[in-house]
Amino acid sequence: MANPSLQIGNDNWAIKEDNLLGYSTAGTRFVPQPITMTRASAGTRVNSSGLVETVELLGSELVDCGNFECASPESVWGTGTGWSIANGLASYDGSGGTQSINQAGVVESSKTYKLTLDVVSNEGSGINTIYLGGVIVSNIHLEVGNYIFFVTTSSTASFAVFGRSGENFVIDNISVKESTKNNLARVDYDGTASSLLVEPLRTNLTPYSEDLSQWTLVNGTLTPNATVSPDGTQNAGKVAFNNTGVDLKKTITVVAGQTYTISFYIKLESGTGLDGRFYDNNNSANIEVYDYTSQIQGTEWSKITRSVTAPIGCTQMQIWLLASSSSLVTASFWGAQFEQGSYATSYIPTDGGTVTRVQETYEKTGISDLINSEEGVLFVEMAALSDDVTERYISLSDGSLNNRVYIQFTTTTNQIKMGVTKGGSTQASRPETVSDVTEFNKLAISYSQDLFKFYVNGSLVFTDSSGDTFTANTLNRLNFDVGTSGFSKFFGKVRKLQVYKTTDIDLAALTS
Amino acid sequence: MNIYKLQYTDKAQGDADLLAKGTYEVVTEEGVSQDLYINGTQAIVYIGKIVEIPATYDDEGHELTPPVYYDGVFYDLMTKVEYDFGINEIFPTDCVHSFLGYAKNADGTDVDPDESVSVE
Repeated sequence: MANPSLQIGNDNWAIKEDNLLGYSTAGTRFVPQPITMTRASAGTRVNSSGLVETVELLGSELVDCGNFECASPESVWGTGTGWSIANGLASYDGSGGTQSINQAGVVESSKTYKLTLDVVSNEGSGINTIYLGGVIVSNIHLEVGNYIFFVTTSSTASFAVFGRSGENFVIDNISVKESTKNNLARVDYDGTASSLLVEPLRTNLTPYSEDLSQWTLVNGTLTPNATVSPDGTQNAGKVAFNNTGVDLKKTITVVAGQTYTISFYIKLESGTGLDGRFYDNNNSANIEVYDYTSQIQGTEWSKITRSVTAPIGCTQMQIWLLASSSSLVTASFWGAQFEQGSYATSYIPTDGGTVTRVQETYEKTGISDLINSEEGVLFVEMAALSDDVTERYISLSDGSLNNRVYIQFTTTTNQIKMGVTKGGSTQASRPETVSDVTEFNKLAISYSQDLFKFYVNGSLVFTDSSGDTFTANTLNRLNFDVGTSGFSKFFGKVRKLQVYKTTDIDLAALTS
Repeated sequence: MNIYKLQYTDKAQGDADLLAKGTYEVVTEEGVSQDLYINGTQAIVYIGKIVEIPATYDDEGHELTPPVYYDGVFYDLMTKVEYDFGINEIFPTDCVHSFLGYAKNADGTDVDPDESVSVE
């Protein structure tokens, strides 16, 4: 079978800032075809270990001998009076007043870095100021622990950390790496396979997504940082309720008539019949009490989701993570999110305010050499984020609506559609209902002069034996939208996307 | 990146000003209209009303005193373009909204991602 002229995914993922790696193959050669992507904010995903994490790209190590175990650490570290390096540790004995250990030439100006270090021991309460790139990174007393800092530098000034007079201070494992979080593609794992996650702009309206002490809690006792959360750190609060009628709630400002979706993680230790609740403050009435027990997966972390529409007159809504239960509940909660929209999206952490993740875009322009406009195949294995009956396209086009080959989710429930448009006239078009658009479906369009085919999950569902294709080099871009810049954007998951320059492909096998 | 914090009398006024400044356009194709970001706009977040003094409630959740809101409605705009929003641009010191990866109070031109710290 012919090789794709362009493909994405197929369990081969690589990202760098502003790019997702698309690729083609020529014989045994692997040719990168970077796909332009944008998302001007950070974003989270579920990684291959099943942990929720912020997508981050780290550069190479910039600190020399950060573990203090190289042959001659004194040659790369500057040490003030009282500092010494031995046995893989840097130690300050407090004898020299306020003194630093430092290293020059670590960073460039105006870049963002991730700085980590371990404090092995520290006496007293003096401030251990840390400098990097002209910025005061930290200005507190550093207790024993592992520290992570993110800093955007203002100069190339040295790294330095200060010990205080009369206080023994021992540190280890200093690391500085360039950090990128924005404009990074997100490859998400669902436990069985990886896929590209493409989501719209969403705002988490809960101001404290992880800090339950900021929520109203009645008839229960909170233990902060009691449980390892879905992000892999011990930062989830556990609540032991002492009554089956309880409050664990937050009041959110909403817009009447708009639909919102709550999502949160719960790790249930004991209890049955758990109810969440939405309450309309303005009309003093329950909007809904809902039993979410069926969404709980044993004693593992479970993600609960529920949508609600704010009634007429409702501008203040109480959202309850737990409102009542059949028996006393002990459970940990983490990652509360309340967002405008009919379905939940990936986690957006908050700490004291609402936070927005910006929408993502993907496109690849100037690729007429990778697309055969006269005949070819567009194959996509994709899933919708929700069956929300909106139009979401993936297309090959010339940048206009007039000339394009497309696959889309439509405004009809569980419907997928193919189409070929030339000169503004439809040459072939076929909607097809699938069992569930939120599951991955394998779809392929074959287009050639007077022959168009549509394969869905291994079956030929449509053939059209009349219609024109395009003159050579007409199609020149891959779009995650209708074919122009940004209209009816694709939001969903893509496991695999392939473009072929021939129709001599076993599409039944490809889509099976 | 530029982040602007904006205040308008109401949503109609805000939408109209953002449209007039070219931060987005309304495109209609085949009978469907969508707001599309243009000219470097990354996000327009309609925050709406902001509570100044929270409401109070009795033990059963009934409202005793309603919330007090700041005047008008609020937006956060993230864009690659510099604009002059005049009196509509505000400079709050304790912001209620931010963009993921940016400091809570980040606003102005040429804003860098967050400087933050976590301890494990």
